[in-house]
Amino acid sequence: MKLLARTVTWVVLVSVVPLGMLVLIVGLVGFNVWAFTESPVTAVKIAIGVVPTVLVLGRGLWVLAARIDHPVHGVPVREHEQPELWALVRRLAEVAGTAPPDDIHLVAQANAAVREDTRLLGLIATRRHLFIGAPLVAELTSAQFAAVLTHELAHYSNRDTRFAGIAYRSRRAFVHTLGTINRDDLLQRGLHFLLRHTGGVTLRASTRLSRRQESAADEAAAVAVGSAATVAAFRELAPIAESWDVFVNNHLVVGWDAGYLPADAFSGYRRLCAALHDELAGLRADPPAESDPYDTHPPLAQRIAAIEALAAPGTVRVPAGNALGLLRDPLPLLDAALLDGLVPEAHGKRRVDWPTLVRVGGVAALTGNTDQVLATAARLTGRPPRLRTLLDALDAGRLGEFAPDPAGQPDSPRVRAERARLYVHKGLFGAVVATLTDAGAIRWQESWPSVGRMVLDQRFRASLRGLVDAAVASPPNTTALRALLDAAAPPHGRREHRGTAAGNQDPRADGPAQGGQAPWPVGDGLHGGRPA
Amino acid sequence: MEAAPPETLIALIRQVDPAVNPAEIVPGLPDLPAVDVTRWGLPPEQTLSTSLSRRIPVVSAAVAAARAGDHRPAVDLLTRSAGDWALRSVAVHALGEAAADDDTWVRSWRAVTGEYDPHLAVLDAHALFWLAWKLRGNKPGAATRADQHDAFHETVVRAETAARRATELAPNDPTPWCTLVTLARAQGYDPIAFAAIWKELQARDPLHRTGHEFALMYLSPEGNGSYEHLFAFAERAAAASPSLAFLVVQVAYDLEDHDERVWQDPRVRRALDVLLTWLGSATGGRGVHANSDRSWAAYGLVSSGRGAEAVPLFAQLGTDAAGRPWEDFGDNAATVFDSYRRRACAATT
Repeated sequence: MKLLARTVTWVVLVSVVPLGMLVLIVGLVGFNVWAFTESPVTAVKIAIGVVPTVLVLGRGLWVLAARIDHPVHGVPVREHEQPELWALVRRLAEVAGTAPPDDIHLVAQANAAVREDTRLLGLIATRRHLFIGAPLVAELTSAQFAAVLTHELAHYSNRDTRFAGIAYRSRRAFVHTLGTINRDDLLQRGLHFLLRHTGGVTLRASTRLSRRQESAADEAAAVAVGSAATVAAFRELAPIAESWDVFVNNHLVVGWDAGYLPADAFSGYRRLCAALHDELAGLRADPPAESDPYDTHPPLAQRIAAIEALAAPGTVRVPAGNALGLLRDPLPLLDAALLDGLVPEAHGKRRVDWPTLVRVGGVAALTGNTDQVLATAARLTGRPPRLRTLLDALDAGRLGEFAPDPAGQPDSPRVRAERARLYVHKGLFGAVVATLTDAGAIRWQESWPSVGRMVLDQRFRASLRGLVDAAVASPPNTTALRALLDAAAPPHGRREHRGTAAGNQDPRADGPAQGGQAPWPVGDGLHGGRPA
Repeated sequence: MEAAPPETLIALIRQVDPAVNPAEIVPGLPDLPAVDVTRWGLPPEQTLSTSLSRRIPVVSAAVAAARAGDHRPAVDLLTRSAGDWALRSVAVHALGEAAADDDTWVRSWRAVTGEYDPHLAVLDAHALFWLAWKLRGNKPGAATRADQHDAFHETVVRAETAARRATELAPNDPTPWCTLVTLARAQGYDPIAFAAIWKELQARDPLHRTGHEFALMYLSPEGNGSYEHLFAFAERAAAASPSLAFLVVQVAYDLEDHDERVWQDPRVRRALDVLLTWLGSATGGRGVHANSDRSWAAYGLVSSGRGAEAVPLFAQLGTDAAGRPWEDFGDNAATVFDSYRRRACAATT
């Protein structure tokens, strides 16, 4: 009963500001009307003060009562196309004691959520959306997946108390309203002040309610699919979020600048998850506390213990196996969700298999300035822009003439020479790698969890980097590098590299000048692309 | 609205914060005060020098010879400075910069002594540290090109390798350990890795000034972090020796962008008193770091509203506007130095 009292208190407190404003408006207008019947001249004088106040209050009320519609994103999953998934969701909503969603969208995020469009500080709900993260479908079992969905749906359940659902809704809308109020506007700032102070009290008062609701949602999930599957699902969420982050920022975009995306992204994601499985064991064993600005969740470990203590066997029959089995022809759907989460240019990328992607992305990442360097060599020597032209220019002692334009003040001699050395080293290394890749002397391999790896044919017992170092040293020595190139890619045999870079951009995002983390471990010199 | 006359604005600003430079608050106001510093016996602004190597004649002579291609005075200086770690760190810092600009003299030195000369190894490492910064340039991160960031990071890695090698060739020398401390922030060492380096430096010279100075930069929080641990570090060092009291002023200087009131902090007031006493002593007033201490003390005194006490320090600094804190203002170093002098002089009237 205490819980019911708290819930009612919350609803009342949340409505108190808008109600008070409404009462004030009605009172002011009523007073003015009454004044008009008594003395029209006085009433007009009064109206001079009343009308702006009522307008301002009305505008404030409008801000509060305004609709909150969640921007719907992701790929719609229609019932006639995916009847099995919809049937499961309906069944889970029923077990959770709430209405099924009005629509389901598959999104490229590592979580699931139910959102409602609301009016009047969340007191009225109009439409319910279920968002399902594609990585969850790819990695969870059907039972784990069902547990996550039940938990989300159960937030809107009225089973515990008459007002639990409405209170949850209000809390979300309340915070949302606070966040969208325009702080530059004096009246809205006043409203913000009022709401924050009445709301701060209630938000704190509702902490226990919130925790209780979280436990109720956990319980609903356990009742639906069993304690074991629910616990397992909760343990998987953090590893999936982490591996998805790694995947999207590194693997997915490895060929981005060269114009490529993987054809079968989710097969790659699943291989990454398998490769990271042991590394993420810590997250699985000791899941981090969720940070949700709307709720103060009890620690996950405590929740897991509570779910295990229930030892619920589960009531909903969920097919065995991976959650992918719940979808008809799942891969195109997951892929569409993935593309939906990327910038529009993603649709223009060529889709290639992972080995090709690793090769193309790897070579592109290493040849960012190769064309520029070869062009400079051609300009200096009057010969075609080829790798051997560059080597001849280096042998002729012309390294210093490659220096890129200094930024601002002119460089001192050593700085200028060093800039040239680093610049040519990068371009030369890229040209050598591209030429040897074309000649088949370098092979590129997938090497999950790294982005990829290049392997020089065992016939050549050489350190590529060492050979390139020697070629740009002072004095230069290109003999060993030439010998390797002659053996692997004879100048008159196979085609020599003339640059494959896609534009002259550096594929990396700009890093901080100091500090920062080491890049994700990748193959020899290969690095990830620009995050999408 | 009628514009208030500059004097009124200045008076208003002074009321709010007597230590602040009005030109920093309202652009266009005279970079106050319009005083002629020569009346206090200070050299005119045009004669100021920001060259670090000029401070100590023996160092400036070695640097000048090195820049002219003669390595011998530098070799002499480095050989003689073994054991005098304060002089050595100043010499290595100044010669390192010269070597980063042009290493012709280093190559001729190497041709004579070979690869395994400990002094050469120590210098090489510090020169690479300078080279990394020169490759990067001193613009903020966003205004620095990707290839400059890359060059910086690649060269910092080389500097670390070279410094590690120098620690092996010169096992008693704290200087290469100090170079590693200067690289700590760029390399993003974790606290354990940093502590290991710090321990080695402390074992060789527990009061190593440059090491402490760069350790403070490593410990300095990004953005609006807490400065309490910085104060704790600086106060511990200052308690160990007044030669390190400047560190507390350096913390305040780090913090002032976030909290101007730091200059009224009693810890800063105390440190300035210690620093003044130290500079008045025979040891403190004559060491190789004396002018560096004077610069920090002068900056701190003016900022704390004790400008009058800074005038004698500026008189002793003369034309020497080199080193920190001034050099942090890049091309404006001499201008900033001069504006602090003016504020100091104005405070005496």
